[in-house]
Amino acid sequence: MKRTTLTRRYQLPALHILSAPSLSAEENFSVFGPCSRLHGHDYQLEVTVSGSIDADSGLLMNRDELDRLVRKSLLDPYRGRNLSDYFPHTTGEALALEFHRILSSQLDSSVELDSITLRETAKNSFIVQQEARSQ
Amino acid sequence: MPVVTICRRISFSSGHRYFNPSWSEAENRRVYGSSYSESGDGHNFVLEAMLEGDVDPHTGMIVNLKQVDSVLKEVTAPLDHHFLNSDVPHFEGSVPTAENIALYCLEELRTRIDSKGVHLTGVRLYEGPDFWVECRVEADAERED
Repeated sequence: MKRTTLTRRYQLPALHILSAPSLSAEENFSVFGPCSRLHGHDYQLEVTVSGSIDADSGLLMNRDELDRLVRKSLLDPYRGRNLSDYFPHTTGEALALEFHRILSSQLDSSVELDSITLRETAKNSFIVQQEARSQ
Repeated sequence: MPVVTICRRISFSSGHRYFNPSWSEAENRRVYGSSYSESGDGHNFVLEAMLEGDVDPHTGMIVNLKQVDSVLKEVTAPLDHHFLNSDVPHFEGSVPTAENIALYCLEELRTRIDSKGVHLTGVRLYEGPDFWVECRVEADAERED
């Protein structure tokens, strides 16, 4: 039994700030450090889908279709924006979860969103993966 | 016992075309979208093989990388600097999409590598830096097929 996934990588430069509204600026700095100031990243988003390969076309999924869905649901709405205006939490893990939720609702039943990897910097990346279905 | 996996990479440069000869040009254009081109295109493909095995207590390795390299070379040599649709007999019956190239490499590597006492658990095939296909052998069924 083989399982095949297809992954494409996208660029998502955006701003965010880590701060709890209930805390003062000093307290936020002590919790979140320099991330408590408004700043940005060249986020990279790796989108992995799984499914079966069509025997005639040899495709698991059409790349344009995946690009279109990712562009429509994630890149166009958030690229160049302040993510903190849209999401209550913008830590890497929180964003990866949100992006996974948003994108999985866009895919039709022929493919499944396997995972999203959000690379915040060269050092930090966050992976949200669909639990494997019981066989 | 923790499972140890190693990953080894090899690159090869090939041409291919997203094109099913049993369809019209228009149908190919529709199905493959921007992957379609009239001439086909070329890439520096990168193949990664993921290998699992027991660490030999004497060598401290699960496999000698030289052996892995020679197998990777053997499998990718027929693809390297070739146009896959026409030059590789396997792709007379299927379109050399990234998906099918990954599957082909998995099958070609599998018997050769398993015979060396380690298991090939999967391959990853990069078609350019921002797109790849990964094909994994499911653990449960591994020994049945």
